[in-house]
Amino acid sequence: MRRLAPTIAFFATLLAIATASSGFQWDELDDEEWGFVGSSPASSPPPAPQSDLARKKPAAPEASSSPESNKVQFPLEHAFGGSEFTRAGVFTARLRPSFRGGQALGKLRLSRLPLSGAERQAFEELLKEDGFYTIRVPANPLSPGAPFVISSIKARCLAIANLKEHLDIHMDQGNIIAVGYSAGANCPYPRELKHPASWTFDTHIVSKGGEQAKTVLFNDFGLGSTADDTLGDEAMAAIKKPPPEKSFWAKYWMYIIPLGLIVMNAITQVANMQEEPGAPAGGGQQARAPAAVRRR
Amino acid sequence: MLSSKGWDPCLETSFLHCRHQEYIGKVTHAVFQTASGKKRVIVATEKSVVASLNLRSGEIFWRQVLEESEPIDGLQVALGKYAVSLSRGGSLRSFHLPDGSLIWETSLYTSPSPAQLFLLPSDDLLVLKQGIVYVVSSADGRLLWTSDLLDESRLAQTSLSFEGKNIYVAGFSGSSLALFRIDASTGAFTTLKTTEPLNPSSFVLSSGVFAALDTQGNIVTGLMEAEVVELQKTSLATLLDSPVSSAQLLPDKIPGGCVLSTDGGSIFVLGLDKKGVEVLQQIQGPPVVSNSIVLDGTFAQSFLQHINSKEIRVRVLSGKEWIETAEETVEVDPNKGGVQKVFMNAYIKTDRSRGFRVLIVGQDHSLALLQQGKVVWSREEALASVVDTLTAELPLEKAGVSVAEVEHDLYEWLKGHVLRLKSTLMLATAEEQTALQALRLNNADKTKMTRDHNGFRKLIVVLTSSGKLFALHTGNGGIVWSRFIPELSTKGSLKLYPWRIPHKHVDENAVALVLGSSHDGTGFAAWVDMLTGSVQETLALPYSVKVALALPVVDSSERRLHLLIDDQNKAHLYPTSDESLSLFEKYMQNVYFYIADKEAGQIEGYNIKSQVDAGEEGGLVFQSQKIWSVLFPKDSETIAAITTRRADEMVHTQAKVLGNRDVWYKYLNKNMVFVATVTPQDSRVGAANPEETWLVAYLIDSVTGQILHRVSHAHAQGPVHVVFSENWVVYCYFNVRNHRHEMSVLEVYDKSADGKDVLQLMLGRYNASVPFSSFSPRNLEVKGQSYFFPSTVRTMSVTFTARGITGKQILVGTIGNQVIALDKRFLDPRRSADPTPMEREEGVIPLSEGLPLFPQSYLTHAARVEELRGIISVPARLESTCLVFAYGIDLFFTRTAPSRTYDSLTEDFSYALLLITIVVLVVAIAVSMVLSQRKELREKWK
Repeated sequence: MRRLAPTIAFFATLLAIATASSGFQWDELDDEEWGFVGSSPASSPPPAPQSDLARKKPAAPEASSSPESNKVQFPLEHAFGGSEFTRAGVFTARLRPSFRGGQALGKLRLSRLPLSGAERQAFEELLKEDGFYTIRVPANPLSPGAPFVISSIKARCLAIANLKEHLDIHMDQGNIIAVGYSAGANCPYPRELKHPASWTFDTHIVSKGGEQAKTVLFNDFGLGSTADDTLGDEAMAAIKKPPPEKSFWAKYWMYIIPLGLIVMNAITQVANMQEEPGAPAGGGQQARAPAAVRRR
Repeated sequence: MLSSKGWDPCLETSFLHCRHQEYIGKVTHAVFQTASGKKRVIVATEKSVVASLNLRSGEIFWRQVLEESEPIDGLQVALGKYAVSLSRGGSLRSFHLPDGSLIWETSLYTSPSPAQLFLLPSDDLLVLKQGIVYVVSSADGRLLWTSDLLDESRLAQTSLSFEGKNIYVAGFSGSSLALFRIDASTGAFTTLKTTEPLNPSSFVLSSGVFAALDTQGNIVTGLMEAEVVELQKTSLATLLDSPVSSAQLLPDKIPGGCVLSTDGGSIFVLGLDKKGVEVLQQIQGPPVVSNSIVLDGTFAQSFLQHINSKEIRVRVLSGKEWIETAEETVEVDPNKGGVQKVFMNAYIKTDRSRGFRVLIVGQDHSLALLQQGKVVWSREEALASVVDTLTAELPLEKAGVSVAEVEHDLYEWLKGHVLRLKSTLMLATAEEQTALQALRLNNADKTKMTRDHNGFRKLIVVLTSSGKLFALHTGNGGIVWSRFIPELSTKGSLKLYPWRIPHKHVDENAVALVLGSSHDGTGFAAWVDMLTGSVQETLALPYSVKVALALPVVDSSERRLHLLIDDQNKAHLYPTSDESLSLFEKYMQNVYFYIADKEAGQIEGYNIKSQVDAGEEGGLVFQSQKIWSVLFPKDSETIAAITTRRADEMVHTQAKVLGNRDVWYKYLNKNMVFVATVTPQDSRVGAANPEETWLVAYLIDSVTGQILHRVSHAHAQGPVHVVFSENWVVYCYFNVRNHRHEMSVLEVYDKSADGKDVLQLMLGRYNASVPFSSFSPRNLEVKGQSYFFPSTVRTMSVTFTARGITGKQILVGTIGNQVIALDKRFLDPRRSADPTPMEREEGVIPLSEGLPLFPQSYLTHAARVEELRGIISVPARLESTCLVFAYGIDLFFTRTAPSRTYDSLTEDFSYALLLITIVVLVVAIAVSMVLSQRKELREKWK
């Protein structure tokens, strides 16, 4: 018997690993990163021992945190179109200090329970009436309980996406503000009735801490000199970058060109004036000559 | 503290389109000043305004707007030349009667507790605050003496009277009555004892005698001269000769007497003196009692009663025996509700007899002067407390309807044009200029009651906190109609909704839905015709309305379907017809709404589930189900602002073409909600730690509850002001570290359409006109940028134009009570320090840390809209122009053209000049043609 015990344990572990890869998805996620859960969708319902194993964790206290390991567990619950909430999975996370003080949750993972027969039936009902599949998680995972954060999705959208779900968990200092629950595929309206090919949830989790806004960009002469807001944009730009000195030609071309034209005009006129005393007289004679000829 | 005098910048030549109206608010105190010089009445109002009104016309001589957070507790006129006001925070201010300038200011205490202000016979001022007496010199505001009657503990419901050199004070200390006698010159006080302990239900003091009602139905009186006051008990039943089950002494002061009201509705004037108490007068029905005035050594007082809704009986009792000396019946406007306050004044008539005038404050906050049996003037002070507005189109001008009376005749028209021509050619004399100015201002075109081509003439329907509705004409700001709905005056939150805006049946009138709802779980709805003001229907709701949703569905008579969400999150559908039910059932699956609870720090989203039995009250009731919630951690975030896009906003194009020929698609989700949360903290100045104050901005899809974007601003503190338009949000807050206000912008672009060409956008599924599902995942890009804003913001709004082509301006109401129009291009998140030539071509402005305020961008010019609370913008039919209505204590209306008036000529464009120029040109052409022909002929003959 003594020898048997380790062997059984070994086989049980093997079995557990096997089920873990097919029965429910583990999702490792880091901030701002889509963590994909590597698991092949299982077409057949998971065998009994798998679900037993999966229920082991929920059997633990509601959500326990052990100070040594800094690990936190809290439940994911679901409801089908306004029914009572039931256990749907367990999140595990690690506590770490937050940059804004307090504690933050990291390395969030979810072990999703497979749908039971009754739940599947309820889901089918939802598909028929185009109802909502609702999930909830405690707002404060460190002391799970009363205030819950709720999120819903049309069951048909989940079915269209073949139970591929995205969970955006918005957190702030260890509190969950909201869970964005969406299906992994487009879900245009009107939603068609489609049954999922498999009954295994394919979960992708992202934990979002929120980004910090850009602060106001200071100019070089900015804050220190109690930057004067009365200065207009142009003035500011002028202070920042004095415009390069223009060449003489670039500055005064508009005066030089007309001046040149006037001068040239005057010169030609003067030149014409000098010619004029002789030329017009000759021209006149030439013009009159043929007339005189005609008269004759 | 701000003051304004009668100068109106809107009367200046260059600002023809603006209208500025000054108000003061509901009057709480009034003192007549008729002794010498100008006849005036000094008033203090609920809006913390001290004003001097012309007693002949009701016009404002001057007014001073004090801090709104500190209501005015008392008003007196001292030394015949100073108006002295006492604010809740203990500030005593003295204003010069002729011009309203501040003479002196004294701060007596800082606690915001109610107090009373009295004028001593020595013309000094006495402030009584919960058992502490302050006496202040009215010449310079110096504190003469102060005495604390009860160390540490408080005196409640205090009352005070003077007799000779003594001041008598009474008040509740716990449940028993405490009596004091104070020497007026030194402030030394004596606590008076009574022969029996007193635990009355109500009491009054009058000229050194007090009267109190005890619980056994006796009236107890006592003379407060001796140290130990002897009490005299008289049974009310024997005094009034009839059994009385309950009675109350009114706090209205009558010298040498008091006023007793009984449950029978009658009022008894009782005389109090050393001998005891006697009934002087009995008045049937509950009247409103005025202040008392001194007349020939005795007193006079007026009592007002409503005979019916149209008539008021004014009775003046005077003399030692309280004989009725005057009685008048005055016809009043039934649209003003009951009389709430009366102030009386006496004057000498031309025949040397004595006349009385009374100033009455109506239930609708209006102020009116009654004299010689008539309403001499009245002021609509409800307009100082506008809570919501709607605009209504005027009826179309029809061929059959004659509008000739308001039309100019031909001569007038010609004269106007000649004047304009002269003014253009600078030939006009000063007289002609003023004539032209008057002509422009009183242009009958502006005030016509019909629609104009440009859509400038509209009715602004305003709802005021008094429960009175007004329709203001945009042409001259005049009141077209007003309607007082008494049921609304008791409701806390009031809102207006467009119930029916006719498009098909254009000859029918638009209807507004007015909703009032109070915390006691009841509501009230009224349907009001927006053109005539007639109330079509009223409905008392057995629930309070949390949210009202206007659905994008109208029935066959163009009534918009509305859902009223009650406190149990049940949805009530109106109108309650079968047609609306069948219309609603089609859309029911897609109706989502959200409820924000600021106290709990959460927002919850709901969907309509199914119809339920309405029970006794009937109607169409639907059950909702909660589908999402967002919960902000209570210790680090409280909701500071929630804003959505305006449902009727027009967006011209979804695509934004950049300088480098890239196309970005605006994310135009109408269900997007902007929420700003700030770190909760105590509001004391300087209490904020810059390192621990945050503002977090969220963009939430209100259908799915998805947080589309979340960004936090360090060192930011509320209050937060937001505008949300198209695909962008601009919000303003205070930066604690930099000690400056900042404005941030977020622009949301849909990147799921990337890589699609414009043809696909036009035909395909990325078109904004094609519905999209919030349940489909979206790839969004949010661009943000922050700038310093050099002014403090009171409120923010944005311009709306008819088709959304024109650029946007952000309308900022500043702490100086002015409206600034700030071009949205300054708040472009793509501004960079050195824009590329392509960006420059596109019009991107180089980055600067601050937003510029140009003097030209002040829409209000030099006018100030005191206590500015809201700015509304309404599109005109002309695309370039938008009408702007700002309200606070004052009202202000103007037009703005964010991208200049590119589609119209200016209003005073001289058509005559154009015509003359053309005629002259044609004549010149004809003459020159003839001349040239002649010349040619002459040439040929040569």
